[in-house]
Amino acid sequence: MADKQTWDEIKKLYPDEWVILVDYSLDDNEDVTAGTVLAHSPQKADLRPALADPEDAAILYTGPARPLSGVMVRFGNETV
Amino acid sequence: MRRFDPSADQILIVGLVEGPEGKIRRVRFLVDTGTPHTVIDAPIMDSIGFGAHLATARSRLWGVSGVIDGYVVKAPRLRVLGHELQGCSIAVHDLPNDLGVEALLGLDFFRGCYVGIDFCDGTLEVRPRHPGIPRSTVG
Repeated sequence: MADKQTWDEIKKLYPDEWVILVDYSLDDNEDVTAGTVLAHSPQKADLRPALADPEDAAILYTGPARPLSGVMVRFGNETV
Repeated sequence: MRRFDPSADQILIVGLVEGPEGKIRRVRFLVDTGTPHTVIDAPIMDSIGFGAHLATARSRLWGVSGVIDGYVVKAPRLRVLGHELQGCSIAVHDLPNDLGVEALLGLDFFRGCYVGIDFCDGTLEVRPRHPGIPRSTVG
């Protein structure tokens, strides 16, 4: 198993991927600040086998969330 | 009170759900008052023992991309935004991969509460209006 890494390191190593973290740490806002990457993949479905084992794990996406709905307005080259 | 990124396109809050045998999963909830019920991704719920065999009802999630069928379970513990709910109903659905979140914090979580969202400071506060409602503040 890999070493424990900070959330910022994990986001840089696995951009826009789903990660399973064990032995994770939280800050006082209950955000995950570090953890050991058990598995990672751009496809959530790939993580299903690894997801079954740990008693306590965090499953997080390292990229931005996508809107469920809404309108993206583009002015020239700028998206707002 | 919890902090969030006020410049982001959504409010995302990390929370915890516990399975029937005590397994724990921590996921990001998209605060989505447009969704009537709290939803957690099916593979995550399945991994802590909440398969369809424990369903108490069927559920259906409508979105701009279509309809996703799922089911409802009773979770022993849901902890989000400093509040812990025991025995609460959670809808279980296969959320799209490109959604980028593992759960939706629906309107049901906020019922009976004062909800304050401060987009200047990036804080979200949920406070039960009446002390008798079945939830406890845990931090």
